[in-house]
Amino acid sequence: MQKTRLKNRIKQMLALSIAILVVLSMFTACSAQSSTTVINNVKDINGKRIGILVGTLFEDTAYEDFPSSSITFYNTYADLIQALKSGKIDTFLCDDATARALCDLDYKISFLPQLITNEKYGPIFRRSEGGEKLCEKFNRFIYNYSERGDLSLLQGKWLNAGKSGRDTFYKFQDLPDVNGKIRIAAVNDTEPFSFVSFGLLTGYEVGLMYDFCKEFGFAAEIVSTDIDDVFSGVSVGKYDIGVGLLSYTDERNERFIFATPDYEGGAVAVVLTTVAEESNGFFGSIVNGFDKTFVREGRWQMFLDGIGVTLLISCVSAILGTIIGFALYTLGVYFRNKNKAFLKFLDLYVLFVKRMPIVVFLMISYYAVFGNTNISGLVISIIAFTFTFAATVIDLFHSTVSKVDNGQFKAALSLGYTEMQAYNKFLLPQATKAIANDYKESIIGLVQATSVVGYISVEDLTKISDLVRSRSYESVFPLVATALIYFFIAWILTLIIRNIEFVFDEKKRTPDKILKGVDKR
Amino acid sequence: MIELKGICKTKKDATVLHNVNLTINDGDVIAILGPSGMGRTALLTTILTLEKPTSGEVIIDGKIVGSKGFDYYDARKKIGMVFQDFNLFKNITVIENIMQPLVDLMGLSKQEAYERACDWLRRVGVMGKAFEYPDDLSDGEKQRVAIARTVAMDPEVILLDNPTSRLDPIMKKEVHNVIRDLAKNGSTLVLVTNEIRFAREISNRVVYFDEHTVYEEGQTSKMFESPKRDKTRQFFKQFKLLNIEIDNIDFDFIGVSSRIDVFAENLNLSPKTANSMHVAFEELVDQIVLSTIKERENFKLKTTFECDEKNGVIYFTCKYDGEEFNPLISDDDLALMIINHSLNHLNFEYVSDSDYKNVVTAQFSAKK
Repeated sequence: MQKTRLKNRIKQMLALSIAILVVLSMFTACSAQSSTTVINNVKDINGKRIGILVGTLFEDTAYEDFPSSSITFYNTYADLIQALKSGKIDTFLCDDATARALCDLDYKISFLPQLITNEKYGPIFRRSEGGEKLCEKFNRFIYNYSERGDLSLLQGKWLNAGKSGRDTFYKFQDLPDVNGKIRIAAVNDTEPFSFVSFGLLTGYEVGLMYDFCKEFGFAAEIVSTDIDDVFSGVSVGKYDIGVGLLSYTDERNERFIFATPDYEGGAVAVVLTTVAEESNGFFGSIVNGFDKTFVREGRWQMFLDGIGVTLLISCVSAILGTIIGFALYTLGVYFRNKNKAFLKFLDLYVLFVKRMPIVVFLMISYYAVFGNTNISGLVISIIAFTFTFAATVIDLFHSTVSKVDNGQFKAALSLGYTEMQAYNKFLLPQATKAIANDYKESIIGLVQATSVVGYISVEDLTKISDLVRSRSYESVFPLVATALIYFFIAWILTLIIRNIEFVFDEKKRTPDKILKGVDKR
Repeated sequence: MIELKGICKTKKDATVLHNVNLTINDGDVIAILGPSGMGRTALLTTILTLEKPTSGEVIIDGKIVGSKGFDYYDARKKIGMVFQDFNLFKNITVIENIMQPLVDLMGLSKQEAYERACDWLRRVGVMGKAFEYPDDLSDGEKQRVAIARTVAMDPEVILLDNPTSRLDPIMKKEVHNVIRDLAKNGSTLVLVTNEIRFAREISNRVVYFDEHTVYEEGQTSKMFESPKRDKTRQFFKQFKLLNIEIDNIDFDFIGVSSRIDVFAENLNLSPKTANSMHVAFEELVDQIVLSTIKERENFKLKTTFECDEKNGVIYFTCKYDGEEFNPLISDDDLALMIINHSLNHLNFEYVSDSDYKNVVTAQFSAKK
C-alpha cells in the first residue's frame, strides 16, 4: 500500500540531505583562500578592510581611528573569522579578552598586542534606589576580594592563555537565601567572561558573581541570554545585575550604574597568522564540521533542546490558532446577515496580520505590549504566533469556502435548510477537504516563521544554531545542519497531515455504509 | 397558490424588478419568456423568499411573506427550485442528495427516504448512478438528479431557472422529457426559459417579462398567435421572421447557418423545410449573388425568411443595392438546379427608386 511510497520518500530525503551536505562542505573546504594583506602593526590598519561585530562600540573606533578603511558588519565572531580567512576582510576588532579566547582555539589567527582603545568592563546595575544599594555592596565586595588576592586568582584561572581551569561550574542553586534573592543576567557568548559550555553557564564574571552572592548571603537566579536582553532586562528591572564583558560608556552610564570594573583592557585587531594552509579535504571537513557542531561539549543536546522549543511553539500555536481561527470564522458565518461590524472586524484583523512582518510583531509584543511583565519570551512567542495563525486559518476558510459553490448554498436554502445547516452539512465538509493542502502548507510556514523568535531571546533551533556557531567558530556546518533539520521537520509534518487527510477520504464511504439500517429492495 | 403584488426590487440604484404582479394557481404551467437581464431569475428567488423585495408583497397560501411569525423554512419546503447550474451537493453521493433533505427536513425515516429516492431516481432514469458522486455525472444526469431532489420533497410549486441552458441537445431532450412528465402529472411549474418551442408545448400560460416587469401575460396560444403589445409582438415575431444583413464579404457564414437552424427549430419546421432555407441561403445568396457583388467596393444585402404559420408557407426575400444583377439567369447551372428543386415562385425585380434595387423573392412550403 503506502510502504513502497514511504521507502521511496525516505530514499529521496536521504539523497537530498547528503547532496546538500556535500555541496556545502565543499564551500567549507574551499573557503580558506586568502587575498588578505598581512598586517603586523596597528599603524598598518588604516586603509585596510575592517570587519566589525554588529551592535558593538568598535564601529565608532573604526570610523575615528581608521578613517580610510572600509567597514563591513558581521553578526557573530564565527562569521568574522570566516570572513578573515576567506579574504573578505583584512582584520577585525574585538575586546582583547575575547581575542585571546578566539586565538587560543585557532592557530590561523592571532591578535596584535597593541590596545587600540582603553576600556573598563564590569557589571551593570539598575538606576534605582535598590540598584544603587546593591552596587554599593558589590563595590565593597570587589575591593576586599581584590585586596585578598582572590581577584588575581580568578583572572589567572579564566583570562590567561590556554583552556586549563575552564571547566569549573558554579552551583548557584546551592546558595542559601540569607539576605534576599537577586536575579543576574549574563551574556551567553562572551567567552571567557560569560558563556555556555556543556549546556551550563560559566566564566570569569559568572565566578565573580558566585563569590559575591556567597559572601553577601544572596540566593541567586542566573540566566544566560543575549546582550540586548541583558541591557533591556536590567533597565526594566527584570534582572538586578548584568554581566558579560560590558564596557563602560557615557551613554550606558546614563541608563545603568556601572560597578567598579573587574577588568581593564581594550580593543585589539585580530589578523591572520602567516602560516601555510593545511587543507582537510572534503570528507575531513565534513567530519570536522560534524564534530564541532554536534559532538564537542555535547552540543547535540543544545540542538535537541532547540528543536523541542521550535516544535513546542509551532504545535501549540497551530492547535490554538486553528481552534480560535475556526471559531471566529464560524461566528462570522453565523453573523453574516445580522452583524456586519463583526465581519468587518475579522477582515481588518486578517489584513493586519498579513501586512505586519512577523519579526516586528514579535518584538512589539515582547518589548512594548508585554514589556513590563515577567512573561517569558517563550510564552509571548506562543501568543504572537497563535494570533497570526488564527488569522491565517480565517483567511484560508474565507477563500476556500467562497470557491466552494455559492450555488450549493442557495440550493440548500431553497430546500428549506437554515443557513447554519447548509454551512455545516454541505459547505464545511467540502471546504475542509479543499483546505487540507493549503492548511498543510500554512503549518509548515508556521514552523519556519518561528525561526525568528531568537530576536526575543527564545532559544529555538535557529537561535541554538547561532549559539553553536559562536561557540564553535564554525559558520557553515551548523547552518547547513539547521536547514536540514527544518526540512526534516517539514517532511514529518507532511506525512502526519497526509495520514489525517486519508481519514477524511470520501472513497471510504461505500454504499453499505451509507445505507446502514436500510432494507434494500 | 402564490401571489405577487407590486413587487419592486432595487439594488444600489439599479432596478431589478419593477411593479411585478403575478398569480400562480395550482396546476398552472407558466413559461416566463423574455430577454435576459430583465430580472427573471430575481423573480424566482423572490418567490422562493431567498430575496427580499424592496417593496410589495409575496403571499404564499394566504400568508404574507415577512409578516410576524412567518416561517421561511417551512415556506421554502413547499417551493422547489431547479437551477441553471444544477447545484448538487458534491460531498455526498447522488442518492444521498435526494435522501438527506427528506430525512433532515421532512422527518422521513432513512428507509422511507431511501425508497422515495429510488423511486424518483428510477423515474428520471439515473438509478444506475445512485452511489456515484455528482462530479462523475454528465450534465444532463446532474440536472435530472437535481429535479429528482426537488420533486422528492413533494413541493406545491416547482420553479425552474433555465434548466437546460447549460446542456447539449441530447441532454436537453432528456431533461425536457422529465419536465414534460411533471407537467402532465399536474404539477405546478414556473419555467424561466428561452426554449420557445418547449415552452409553447407544455405551458398553459405565458408571461412575457421585459422592462423588469410582467410586460404582458396570457394564455399560451393567444400570446404566441396574437400578442397585444409592441415589444411582445416584436419578441414573438423574431421567431417568425429571420432577418440577415450582410455588408462585407467576411461575414460569419457559420453564424448565419446556425441562426437558420435555430429559427427552424423554434418553429418546429421539418428537416425538408429547414433544408430549403439553407438552399435559399447557401446556393442563391452566397453562391450566386455574393460571389458576384463581392467584387464591388461597398454593398448592402438583406435576406429575410418569414413564416406564415396559418398557411404553412415561408416567404424568402433577398435584396441588395448596386447595379442590376439577376441571379436567376446566372451561369451557375448546378446552383440553379438545386434552387429550382427546393424553391417555388422564384422572381427577380429591379426597383429603381429604392435603397435595395435588386429584389429576389421565393416561397416554399413550411411543414412541421
